Amino acid sequence: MTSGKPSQIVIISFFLFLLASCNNGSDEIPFPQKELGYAQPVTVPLKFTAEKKIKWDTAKRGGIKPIVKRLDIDALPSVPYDSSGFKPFSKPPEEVKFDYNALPEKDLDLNKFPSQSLNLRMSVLSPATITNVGRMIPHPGKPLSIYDMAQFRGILGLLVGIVYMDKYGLLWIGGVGGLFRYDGENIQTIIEGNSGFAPISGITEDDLGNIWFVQAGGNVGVVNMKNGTIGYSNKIVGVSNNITKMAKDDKGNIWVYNAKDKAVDIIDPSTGTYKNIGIKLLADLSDAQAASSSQTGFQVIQANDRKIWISIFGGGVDIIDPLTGKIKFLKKTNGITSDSVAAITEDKRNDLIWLAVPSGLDAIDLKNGKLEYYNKWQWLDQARIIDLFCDDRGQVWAGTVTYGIEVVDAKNERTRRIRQQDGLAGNVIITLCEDNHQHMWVATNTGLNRIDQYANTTHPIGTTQIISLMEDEVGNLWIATQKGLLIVNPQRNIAHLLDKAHGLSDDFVQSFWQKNGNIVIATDGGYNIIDPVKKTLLQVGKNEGLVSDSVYTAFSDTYGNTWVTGPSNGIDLIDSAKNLILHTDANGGLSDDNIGDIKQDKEGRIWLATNKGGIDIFDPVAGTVKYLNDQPGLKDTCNRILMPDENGRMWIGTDKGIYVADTKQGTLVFIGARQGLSNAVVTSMLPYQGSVIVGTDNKANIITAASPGDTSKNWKVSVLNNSEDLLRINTNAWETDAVTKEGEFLWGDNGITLIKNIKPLVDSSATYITGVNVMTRPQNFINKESLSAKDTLWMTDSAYTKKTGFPKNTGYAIDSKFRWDSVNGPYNLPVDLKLPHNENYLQFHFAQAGLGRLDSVWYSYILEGIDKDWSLPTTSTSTENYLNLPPGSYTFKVKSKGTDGRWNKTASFSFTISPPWYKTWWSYILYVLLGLGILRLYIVYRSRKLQRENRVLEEKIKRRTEQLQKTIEDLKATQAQLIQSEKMASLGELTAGIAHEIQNPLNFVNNFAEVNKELLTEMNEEIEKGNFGEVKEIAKNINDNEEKINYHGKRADAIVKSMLQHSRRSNGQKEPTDINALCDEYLRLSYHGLRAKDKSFSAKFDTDFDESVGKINIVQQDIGRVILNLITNAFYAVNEKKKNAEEAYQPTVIVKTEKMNDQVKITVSDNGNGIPQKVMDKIFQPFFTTKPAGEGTGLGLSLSYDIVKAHAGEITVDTKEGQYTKFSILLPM
Amino acid sequence: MKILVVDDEKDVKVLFEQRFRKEMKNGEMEFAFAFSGEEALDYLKGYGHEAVLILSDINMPGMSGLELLSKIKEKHREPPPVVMMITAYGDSDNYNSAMKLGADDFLTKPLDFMSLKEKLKAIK
Repeated sequence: MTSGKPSQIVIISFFLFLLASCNNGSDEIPFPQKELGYAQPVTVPLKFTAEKKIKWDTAKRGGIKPIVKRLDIDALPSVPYDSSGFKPFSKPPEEVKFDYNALPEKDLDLNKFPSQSLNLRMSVLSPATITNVGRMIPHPGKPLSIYDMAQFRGILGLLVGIVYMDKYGLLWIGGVGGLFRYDGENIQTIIEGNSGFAPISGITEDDLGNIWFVQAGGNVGVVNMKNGTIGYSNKIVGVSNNITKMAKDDKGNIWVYNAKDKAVDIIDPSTGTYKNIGIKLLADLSDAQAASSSQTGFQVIQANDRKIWISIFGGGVDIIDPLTGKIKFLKKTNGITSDSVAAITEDKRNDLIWLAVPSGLDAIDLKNGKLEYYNKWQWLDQARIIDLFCDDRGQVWAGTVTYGIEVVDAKNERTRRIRQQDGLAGNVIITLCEDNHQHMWVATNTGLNRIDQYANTTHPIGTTQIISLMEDEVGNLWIATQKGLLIVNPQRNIAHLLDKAHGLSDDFVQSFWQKNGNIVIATDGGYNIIDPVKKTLLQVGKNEGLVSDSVYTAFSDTYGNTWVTGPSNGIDLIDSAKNLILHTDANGGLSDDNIGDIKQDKEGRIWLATNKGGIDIFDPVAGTVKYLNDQPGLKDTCNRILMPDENGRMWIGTDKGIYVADTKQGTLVFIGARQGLSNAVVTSMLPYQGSVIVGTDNKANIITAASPGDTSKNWKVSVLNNSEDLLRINTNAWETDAVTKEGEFLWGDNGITLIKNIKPLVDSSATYITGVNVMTRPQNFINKESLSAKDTLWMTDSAYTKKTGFPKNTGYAIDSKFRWDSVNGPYNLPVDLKLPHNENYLQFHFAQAGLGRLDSVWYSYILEGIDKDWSLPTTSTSTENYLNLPPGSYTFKVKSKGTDGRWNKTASFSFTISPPWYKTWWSYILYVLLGLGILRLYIVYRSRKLQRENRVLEEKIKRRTEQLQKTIEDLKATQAQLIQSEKMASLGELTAGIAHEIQNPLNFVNNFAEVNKELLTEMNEEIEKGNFGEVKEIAKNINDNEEKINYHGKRADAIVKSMLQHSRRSNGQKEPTDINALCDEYLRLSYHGLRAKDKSFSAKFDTDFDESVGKINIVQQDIGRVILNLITNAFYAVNEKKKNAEEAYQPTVIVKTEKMNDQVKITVSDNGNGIPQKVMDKIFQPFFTTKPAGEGTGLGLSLSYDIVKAHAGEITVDTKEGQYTKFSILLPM
Repeated sequence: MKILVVDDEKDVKVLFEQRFRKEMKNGEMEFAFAFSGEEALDYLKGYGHEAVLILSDINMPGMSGLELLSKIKEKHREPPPVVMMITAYGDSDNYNSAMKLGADDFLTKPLDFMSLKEKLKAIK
């Protein structure tokens, strides 16, 4: 495997790319710390200004002369006072013995009753419409916190038949408008009732989480939110237009009962069947009685002992024991007031069964074997109770058809009424339901109310504006109003009124202060001091020496002095011992003449809260003042309340928050809204069990301070439980609230709101993600496998079964290829949701299941995988629309912050946006494989192509080689021709010389032949003469001449031979050759050749032959040509030079041979122009010539070079431009 | 009369001696021989007054016959010897240049000795 590695790397790098590009969303982003809770209080050093002397005005005034009156509080006019809102029983309930076991009994085995199918007709549930209902609006000035859910009305319709809380704590509301679900933020319309819709009057949740409902008349429905289906059955028939209800027993069976029906039906939700139990059995009637019975109707409960108690209007009560299969009958004859029992409920704490009878209530005390009659007294006899509900404190809430609600507190022997004038929407009660937030939901004929029953808030004095409140040392409550004051004795539930008419100096009461059992009352007519023991009323006003009658505060210090302030009075200081009255104001050292409060600290210093000048601290002993005003919140805001705590700290209430000055530690601690104060405007600060209850303009708070010296850590600031609805109407008031020793917080505003059980508010409301919009469309997720084989699904009038195939779900989600496993939670959030890559615009909705609140809920959310941080807190219940989310895994998280100001548990929802198929991991693998495949194909194709090309190339090469071969041969031929032609060219040059060379011997031959002819004639003449001496001489001449003839004949012959040899093609054979002769011959040939061509040519030539050279082995023609070439060139050179040279120039060519060891050197030298340096390296190149065009072939020297090389020799040149040229040939011997 | 024969072929001397054997015997003609232009000039320096006629070959290595002719005509003005040029190449170029240089006659090889004898006798 050699090719494997590079492809593996490719695959791995693809996966790395995949990992890097994929959004994993795995990093959890922590919720911002600063949002987790409130900040700790801010601590700064406590800085006072330097002390300075107070200037007291003593000149004008002497002592005071108070007016003293008698005052007997008990003698004052009184009104009843009840902070609870309850009234005591007008008389105690009558009581008789009751023996449960003695009740008549019969067999009633429910198992033996035949089961009938409900024949539920299944339909697709349309996606719910969602309406945000916003915050609740309080009813001001009502004795209870009752909210009219007026904003629901448009959604729910006028009549609500039933309110039911499911296991998630969500409220299901049924009525004429249909079926709804409320989560505190939104109302979901599950079923929208049309005009003929029979109101839903009963709802219960089965063990599988399906919501069953029953409409008036008996039609039963079951909503499966997870599957998105609704089943309807009309098998159970009741009395139409009458309230039909449902109750679930411990086995999961649902009891359906109608207030006017003659039977009870028991639904088994697991099988979709029901059993019908008629009036005859239930009321133990004869057939005739049963047939004629008209006054019937039921209410069903399951008691602690798991027995089913059924009240029968007209048939008393019966008790079915499913364990024993027995039924007991309880009728008027057995002791109950009437057989017309309209409703029944159980006090599960006290084992009391409450029955609604026409004249009131009967209570069966099973534990103690008693039967109590709570009827025929007070107003209950006219009440006509229709519904009973016992809350977990044993209070029985009786809903009547005429008088609203009556709450019976049997334990405390009291009752209270809640009617339309108390804030209820109507006096006709239809149903009651308690949620898990301690609210009672009350449906009336004209609307829905929520009653915050556990707040116990009452308004005992109506809506009178409260100026100030105080509880004195003996537990009396002092209430300041603009029309006198009320002195409440809570033990006696009585309030005495003290006003100007009864001796008070003014009706407008500002505040209270108590000192040694005396009550100091500041009014707009000076201050009053009541001594309850001496029964005196002491009054001091302007006439008695004060600067002004308008007194805010009259404070008595430990020195026995009284400090009196007012709106712009400065300070009046009454020194009782010396009977002096002193005065000072802004001129005397005060920061502001308007002083809100005066208190004394443990060191005896007097603290004054000035309106705009900060805090002034007087030292009464030294007579000096210093100021605390370096904090912005102190200097320019309204400082109104001072409160020294048991640790020596002074609490300062302003309209910007609270400052706590600790003179020992030198610290000043600030607590504002950021630190958890519900509102910055402080209206009261009241010590309570080590903590301080702080009233503000919105809600009250509990502040538990850190120990002194614990630098601002561990301060606990909380909202007071049940104060979340408090919103002050009369702002710009202070010291309005009080805390009693009983542990009640009294909020004084318009009337008094009383909150029991002082404790911090803990808001446990859960946050829910309520929906997801995809591509701006709300999604309705349901379980995919929602219907079983036996189900038939109806859509309009078409029926579908598993066999015929269910219709494709109507949801957008299915169409858009969303994938999810199942749905979860009350809002059907899909589990493991996978969205296609192009369905990536998402918006999330959420809610805090608070079931109604005054405060806005704050939400913070994050979409992990895209968001870098949690969102800023918002009151919106939807996120922004997340656009174009890239493929990856996401988790949406949301937290909410309710009234307690603490962020609750995170709700989260995870989902995935799938990458498009071409970006999935398997596609990447496919790409790699495809890539590799293509690569492989390409390689195969390429190699084949290469092979083919290779073959073509080989073919071409072959052909080219052949061509080249041919070309080479042609070239060789051409070369040979060239060589030959060069040879011929040189021969041509020589022809003239050769001719001359031949001519000369021939001339001699001819001449000597002629001479010999003459001599022979002459010789004959001499012979004739007989002159033989002469003849001998002539004969000798003839003979000599013959030799001459012979010599010159041979000479010509040699020349011709030589010429022939030169022109002949070389045979390449080396033969011993006389170099000197060769040189001489060609020298001559060359000279004469040139002479023949150019008549003007003449040059001197010379030879310098070394005779020892002898013969060497050469190819004669070749070397001859070299020599000839060099000589010809030499002659050409000298001739060229001579043309332009001066007279004295003697053109000379010398051919020299010499033997050098084993070499022969042939040198041809001329005194011509020499060879220019620039062409030196070209002279041996073929076709290079300096001769004019047409005169030379340019091959001479080139061929010479080749020839010499072929002889293993060497050809060199030595030249000097304008001087000489010397060619040398070195040939080995 | 004295005749100087200039030719690079040495056998010319033998040939002339035999051809003019009678004339030399009876003293009618006297011959001197030079084998190059330079040699001929040397002779003329020494015996200039003796030579009446110069027979010169044109085609000789070194100084050519034409050069010799121009030098003779240049240096021997009073009275210039008769110069006859002999050449193997009887073309018009040679002829014209020889005549231009002052040659008295222009003979081509091979020499017609009969006509040469008559020409020499005519000069006498």
